[in-house]
Amino acid sequence: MPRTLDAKHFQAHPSDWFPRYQHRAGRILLRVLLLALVAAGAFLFLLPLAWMVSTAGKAPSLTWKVPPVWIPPDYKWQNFVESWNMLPFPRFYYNTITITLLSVAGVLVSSSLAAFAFARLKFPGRDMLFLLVLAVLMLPGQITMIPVYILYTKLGLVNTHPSLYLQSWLGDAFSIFMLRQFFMTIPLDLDDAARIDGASRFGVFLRIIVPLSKPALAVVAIFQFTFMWNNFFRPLIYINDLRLFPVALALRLFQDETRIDLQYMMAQTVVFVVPVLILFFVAQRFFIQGIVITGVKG
Amino acid sequence: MTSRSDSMFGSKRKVGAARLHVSGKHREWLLAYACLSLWFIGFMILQAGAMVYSFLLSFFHADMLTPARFIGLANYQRMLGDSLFLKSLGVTSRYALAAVPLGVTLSLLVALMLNEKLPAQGVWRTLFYVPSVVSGIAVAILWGWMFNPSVGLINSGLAVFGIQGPRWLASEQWALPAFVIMSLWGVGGNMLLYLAGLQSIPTDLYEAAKIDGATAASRFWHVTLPMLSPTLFFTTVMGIIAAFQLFTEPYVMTGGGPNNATLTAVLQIYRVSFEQFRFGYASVLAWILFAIILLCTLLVFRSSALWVYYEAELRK
Amino acid sequence: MHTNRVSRRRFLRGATMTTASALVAACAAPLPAPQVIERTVEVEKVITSEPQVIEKEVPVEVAVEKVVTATPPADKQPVTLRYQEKAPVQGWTEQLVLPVFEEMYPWIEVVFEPRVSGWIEKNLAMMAAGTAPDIIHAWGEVFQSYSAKKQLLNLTPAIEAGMTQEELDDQHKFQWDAFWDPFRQVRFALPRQVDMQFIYYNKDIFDQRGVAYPKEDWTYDDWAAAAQKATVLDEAGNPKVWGVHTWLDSWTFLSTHLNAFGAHIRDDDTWMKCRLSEAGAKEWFQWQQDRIFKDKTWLNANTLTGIGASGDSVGMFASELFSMAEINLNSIGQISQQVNFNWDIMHPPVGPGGRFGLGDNDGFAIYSGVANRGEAQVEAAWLFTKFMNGPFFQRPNMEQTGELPGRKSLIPEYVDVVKRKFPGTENVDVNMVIRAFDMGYMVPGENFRYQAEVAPIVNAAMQKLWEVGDAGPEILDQVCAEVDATEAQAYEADPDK
Repeated sequence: MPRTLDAKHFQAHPSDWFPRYQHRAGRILLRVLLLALVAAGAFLFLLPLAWMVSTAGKAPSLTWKVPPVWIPPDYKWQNFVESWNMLPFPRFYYNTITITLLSVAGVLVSSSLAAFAFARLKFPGRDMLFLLVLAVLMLPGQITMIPVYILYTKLGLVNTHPSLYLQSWLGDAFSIFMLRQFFMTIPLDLDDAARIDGASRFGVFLRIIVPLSKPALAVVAIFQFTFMWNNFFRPLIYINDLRLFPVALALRLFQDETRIDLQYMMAQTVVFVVPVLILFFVAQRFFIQGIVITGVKG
Repeated sequence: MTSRSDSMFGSKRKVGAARLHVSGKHREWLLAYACLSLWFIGFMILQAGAMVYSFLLSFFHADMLTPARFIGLANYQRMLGDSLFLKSLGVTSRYALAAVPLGVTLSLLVALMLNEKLPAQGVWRTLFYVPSVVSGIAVAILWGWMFNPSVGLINSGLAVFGIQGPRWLASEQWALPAFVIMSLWGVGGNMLLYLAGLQSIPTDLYEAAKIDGATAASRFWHVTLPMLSPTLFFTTVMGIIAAFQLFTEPYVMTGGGPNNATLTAVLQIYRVSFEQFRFGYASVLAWILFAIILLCTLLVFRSSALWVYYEAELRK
Repeated sequence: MHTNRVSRRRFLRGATMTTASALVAACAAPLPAPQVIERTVEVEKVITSEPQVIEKEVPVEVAVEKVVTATPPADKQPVTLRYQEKAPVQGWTEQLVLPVFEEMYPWIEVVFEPRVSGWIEKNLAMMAAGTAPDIIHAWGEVFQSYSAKKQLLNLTPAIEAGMTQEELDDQHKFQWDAFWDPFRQVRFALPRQVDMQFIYYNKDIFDQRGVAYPKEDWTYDDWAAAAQKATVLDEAGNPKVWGVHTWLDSWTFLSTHLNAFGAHIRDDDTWMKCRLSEAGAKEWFQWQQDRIFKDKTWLNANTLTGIGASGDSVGMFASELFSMAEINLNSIGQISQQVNFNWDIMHPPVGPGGRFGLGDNDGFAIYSGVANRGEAQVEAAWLFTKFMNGPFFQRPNMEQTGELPGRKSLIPEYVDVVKRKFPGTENVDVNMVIRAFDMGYMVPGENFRYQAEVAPIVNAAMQKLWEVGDAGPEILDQVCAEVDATEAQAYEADPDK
């Protein structure tokens, strides 16, 4: 039964937990306390970013001072420009963006399909196959790294970009598991209603499951984006040509066995981290406790 | 894992269209296999082969560079007497036992806090996510400083309360707890999952509970947690799988020390394979670890019938 | 893995190895009708649109004494060589060095493959797949592990046929010795650059604390005393500025300190017997442990930064975390640019067993899989390796990076190059380098035969001694017993011994 509900009515409030403080002053007090707690935690979690930003502007002689110097007296903004010009970063960003977007698209498509099968369909071997999906995650990658590399070599895919995102189009165990869990929280009434209206099973997937799973799909997208954006190990092994390096790998060009230019590396790392944080900030705005109606859409 | 009975569709179709019943089921199978085809192709080509290969390798002395030599069960015999690997299993298990519950609960707490209406909510959430996306070397250096016995942030903070902090990464007893603490910085990821999960809880359930006179705590226990349990199940299982494979942090920060106090199983496997070139033996160790992880995961799966609640299972 | 395939591969590998070495020897003979021209080449910075890594570049005058250009014989098929090298040198290598090579050998194209931190795993994967680069730059320890797995071409036949006595005499002996695999009788690399360790000290802190500057004949006791005076404590009595920093958890530095006390890590014949439990070794371990825990003057930066030996001792020295540090010479340029106090260098001190310093060696090796890539490829790889060992690479490298050349004849030029290129060294006694070569105290590090198997055992003991500090050198008896047992076990199991 469709109902009009007032969102404000259902916004959670800390005072819900402490009935004695339901009055106005109490509500404000609790909100402030919660804010203080959150701010304290956030401050702690902000430390790595703060350290990176601070180190990016330091002269090398300040980098290792203990305790760390948080605000260098002379912030060298030129470190950002110098480090940017030292390497062909536009090219690297182009590489990173294409690889990441292609990978995210691949994961969304292949994993949601597989998750749908595990969550909604009944077929022989379902539980076994699901365990198999997870089993892949349980074997340490060091063991399979070289055989897979040799395989890619034989396929002629080494030193190409597809070697980095191809696997995303072939299902990702983490995402399949996550989406399966989420799909299983969607009530079957909705499926039934759609089927009565004449939808095929696949139609149920497209018209019911996917639209209702937007939060979960967004989470998958964010996770995969973050992972591919920051992933340097696979490019390290598979890419030889400097022109094909993604940024995550290129950042390691600032260090070698004898020296590490920490201020340049951190400057470019700060630049590198910003898009992911912006994406997260924009995406999480959809995760606000809102109105979810279990009734059938009328 | 509970399975859905197919009486739901079956019962509807039994009336009058027996022919449809059979092909309906097979159509379902076909659809399922079609949906799984991408994953299956990937699995067969990229993973199954490598897994079988590594299992076969366990019967060889193989360094990947010179021809492999068949040695039968010698690797397995060696593993039985390998005290270092046994120790690494102990280290890893202790770590998982501590880090997984702590991680799951802490990220849930953070998600609950950040689910409340707060000013600049988006900013707070993003800040909690920062360590999950920040480069490893920055995190390693920062933690190294924070855990420094004399001038680090943590011991300085403890000193304010008059507590003499331990030597953390330089102490055999406290190095592993240090890594557990470090893992808590990764709550941002799970927090995101829980936020998504919390958002999808039907609000009329809360309304109904309120009308029934439930307190906030009771609403949490009887509405929020059950509705969130599929997500909790996910984070628990993934947390176990990840915790048992901890590698990068000990490798970079302590080299497995001091005195192998932080020698995790995967670190030992890495040493045996990439430093000692004994891939056959490393395969044995990896498969043992695999078996342990699988066992733990199956236990959680079994237990899930008791505490995980899927909306989709309402109907039996 | 079918047995017949295994044995066939083994046969082929052996066959190609000998064929390749013979080929290399044959091809190293002088090319037909060379023309010898004397000229000086001046090369300016060239901006291209290709990606490049720019170091602080200065137009360089490359004085070339002889450019041997040969008319390539008609049957020379084009060859492309993959050269794996550390990334920061890509810019000037591609502009100053490779063009000269390609002019001398026009049918060979060299592709620079930058190596990134983590390249050791990557090389392993490539070697397993047979696709490793043709020429690899690495150092003794890494090469030994590759050579043990037969991944490097034996250069001896080519050297005997293609290098003159003059060229051979021009190599540094300690480096030349380090590039020999005694167990497989393989010479696997030609020298690239050398390095050595000096004690860098902060003169300003020394002046403040009234510490006398170290003299050439200073001993380990003098070192300890200077460290005592040069340590600055804070109010709580903890060191704020440590006296000395050395990489105590780094294997390579272990041997030189032990050598200075008349001890060794392992024996010289089999490389399998642990000598860490001998009296001389224990004496040094005790000496070192006292400096950390009793005097509290020694810093092992791992306890400070949490990232161990991959840390940045130059940056830490510049940040004045300590007054003295054992740092390699090739960082002298970087230090001069980052440091803003007065500093100088001194030879390592004399211990009861003499004076020893680490002679670090980098070289160029040829991947053994090149043998499967054709005769022309093998010949080209050898020509390139020989070229890079010579002044056409050594001099630009010295100019651009301030690294010590792998050729004795170029060492005298080194001091002028450093003074000119790094103005921050004007008050630094760089001549000490020449003196060090005269004294000849550089030695390569000592590795065990089955290094990877026993390194964790020794490293764990080092952590106990230096970081935890709850046990003394007596634990080395146990360590040596374990090491000996592990080495014996590994020897038994080694099919390629």
